[in-house]
Amino acid sequence: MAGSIKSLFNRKYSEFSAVKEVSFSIAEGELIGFIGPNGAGKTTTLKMLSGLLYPTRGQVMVDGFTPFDRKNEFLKKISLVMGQKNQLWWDLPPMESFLLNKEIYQVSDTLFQKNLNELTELMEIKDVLHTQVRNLSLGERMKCELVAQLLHSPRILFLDEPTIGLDVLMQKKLRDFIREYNKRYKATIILTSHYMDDVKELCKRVIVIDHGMLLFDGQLNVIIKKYSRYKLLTLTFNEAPVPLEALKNHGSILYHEGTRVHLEVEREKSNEAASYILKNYAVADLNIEEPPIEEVIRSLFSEKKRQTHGAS
Amino acid sequence: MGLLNIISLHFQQVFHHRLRSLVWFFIPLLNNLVLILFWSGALKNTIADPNWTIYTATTYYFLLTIANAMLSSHIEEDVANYDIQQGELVRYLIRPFPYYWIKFIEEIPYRILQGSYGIILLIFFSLFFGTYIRITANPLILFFSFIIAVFAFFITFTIKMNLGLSAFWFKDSRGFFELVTITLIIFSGGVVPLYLLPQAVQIISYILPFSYTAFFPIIAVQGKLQIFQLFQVIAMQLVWLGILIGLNRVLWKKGIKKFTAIGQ
Amino acid sequence: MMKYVRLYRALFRFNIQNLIVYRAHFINSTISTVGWGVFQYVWIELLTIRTKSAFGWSKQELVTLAILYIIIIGIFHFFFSRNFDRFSRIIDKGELDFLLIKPVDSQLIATTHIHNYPNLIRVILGVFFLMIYTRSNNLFFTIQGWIGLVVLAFFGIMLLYSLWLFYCTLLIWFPRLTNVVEFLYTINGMARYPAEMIRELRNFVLFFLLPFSISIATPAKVLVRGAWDGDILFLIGLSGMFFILTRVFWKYALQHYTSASS
Repeated sequence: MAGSIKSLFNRKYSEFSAVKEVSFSIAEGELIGFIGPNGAGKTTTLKMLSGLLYPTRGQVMVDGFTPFDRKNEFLKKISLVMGQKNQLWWDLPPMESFLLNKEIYQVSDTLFQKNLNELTELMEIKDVLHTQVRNLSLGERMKCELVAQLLHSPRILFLDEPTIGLDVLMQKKLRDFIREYNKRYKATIILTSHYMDDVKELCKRVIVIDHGMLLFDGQLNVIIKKYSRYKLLTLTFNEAPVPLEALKNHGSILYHEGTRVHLEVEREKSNEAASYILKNYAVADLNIEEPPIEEVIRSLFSEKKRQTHGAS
Repeated sequence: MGLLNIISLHFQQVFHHRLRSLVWFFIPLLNNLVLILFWSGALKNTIADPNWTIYTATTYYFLLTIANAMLSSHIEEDVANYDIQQGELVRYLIRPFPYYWIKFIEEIPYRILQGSYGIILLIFFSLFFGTYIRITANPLILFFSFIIAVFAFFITFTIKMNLGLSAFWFKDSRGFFELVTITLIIFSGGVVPLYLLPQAVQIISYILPFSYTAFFPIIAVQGKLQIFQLFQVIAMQLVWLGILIGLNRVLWKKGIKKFTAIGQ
Repeated sequence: MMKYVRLYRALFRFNIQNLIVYRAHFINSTISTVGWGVFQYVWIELLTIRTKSAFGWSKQELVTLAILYIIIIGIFHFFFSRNFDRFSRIIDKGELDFLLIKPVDSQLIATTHIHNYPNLIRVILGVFFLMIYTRSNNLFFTIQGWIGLVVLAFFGIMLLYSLWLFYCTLLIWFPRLTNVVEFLYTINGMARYPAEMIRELRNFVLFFLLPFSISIATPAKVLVRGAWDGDILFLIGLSGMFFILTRVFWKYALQHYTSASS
């Protein structure tokens, strides 16, 4: 309470750099994964690229434009989709928002109709166009959101967690759509996501940032091989007790409960371990997964930290 | 002790939004200061009334500012929209504390902070323009004025709570809330003191509960009421409190059945 | 230019459809708006119940000013105030991003894309009050007075718009000051009083309150008194100056916009 009263008159502020020392260039038509843990600075970077935020230092050029000049010619070429935010009008059908965007982006009637038909077919949302947005499911809303953002045929897309909160089937459909859009229109796409599957299926190249700093820029298979030394095996045995001691020979037991065991196995030995366990024990179910992206980034970051400290 | 901790926690929350709280205070302050300014020019062309001079007008509107800040409540939207319509009421229902009193405790820190701004301003103004402020110095009258002020807040709070509870039956009653607010402003002496109004309007005002939420506390502090009149005011306040709380109980009992039956 | 005409037409259609869908909201807002409109009239009647004049304005002129306030403020609220109401939320939640990413003038789209239809009813009510009041009090105004009223009301609204934009732009630095719009509604109320009253204050508050006051008092004076005086030039000059200054301020403020976390 005393602290609260004190803060009435004297409040302390501290400065925080959301993004620093981030430099990269992207060629036309590339589909890049832009990944990092929460608070890494991904969205801030996308917002600088789309001209929403002014960088305090450095230079940003997108297709020859300085984004924060916010020239209409630039804004007509780009699109920013934020998975956690909805810009369709809540009480009206998506079609109304599409028509409004048509006027805003000055899309001709012919082009609008062509794009609308193509996009709604790709996304399979023809039958919900005249349903109020408030009555749509999250997946349908997300698809309509994407259509609204693509009606003006942007060639540069910033997708900020577009699959967040969607079920597995919807995520796959959205990924297929993004891949198709990239292929068909040679659109440059920067995608941020916490789902490793989004990045693995869509992006050959990834840029990794953490705490506002660029950690890695290169091929995805390199980062996975180099920084993700382990795979996760989730085993469900037919009956208890589970052979914990035997399993320790193959990897580290992260945790176990009842007949379920989570085992961390070295990447190179994961197939061998899985095959051995299946052969020698009564396993009802086995799942091999990549570690969560945060683990990969953590490994990457730990490695970078070790390198920095080692150098100093 | 637990109750004090709860109030203390809400105070901390209020301090966190101190600038917002100050803006909320400035709103009635500005309205009332402009009214003082209006009367400074209008009084010379107004039918003379010994009760209404520039001194009484200045005191009246300053006290009205404090009354607006300290004795008014705006919980009807909170109760109707957040708690009932959006289902936040659920988290109150699982607490071992009546909903009425939880909302009351939540409201107190805001009122105290807002009232403090008013009192500080009044003290500051008195230092420079003391002759314009005419408040009674009689401790007994001040004591009963305080009682009247406390009951005034209870009346406003209960009226607004009852309004909010209408959301159990009506999906959107904002229009009605605004109409009640307008009526409250007029009949609580929020524009001019009620004794300046025509006799018939005055009688209606003194019957309705609104005059007991601001007008009577103000003129009590101004020393315009005798002791027996103060008792009359308190008696009327208790009558209205009884009616309003009775209504609150009925609305709550019927409404909560509906709420829990339908679910969030 | 044509682009914005077409866009505004689309926005009109959009808003009407939104209104039709959300009828309960419209009815409630209309009750509320009409209630407050009637209150403005009751307010001045109560204030002048024993008063013949104030600051050189007769009771009839004061009541006419209050009625004109209902009309002109109603027009202002119809076009702009719901947009300003949302400013705090869209800045605090980062929803301004969606407006800034569009290839249209950000100030225009942020301040004009939602219309407040209940205020049309308030304007109609105000016109009705004006007709009744002028008839019952035998008040007659010249054609020049009416033309002057319409022209100067435009400048008055432009001035109010600029002032509101200025204060709401401050929300980019103080996004939690969500009630600054409520404060603006209150300051708008200065326009119910004669400007001569505000001029009584000889300090910086004059600079703060007077622009709000002259926005409606000046057109009203032209109507009720045929007073084509210096206030007219002052209103026109001030509204133009504030319009330009607030636009510059808005552009500057956008450089400091920090959006919101996702």
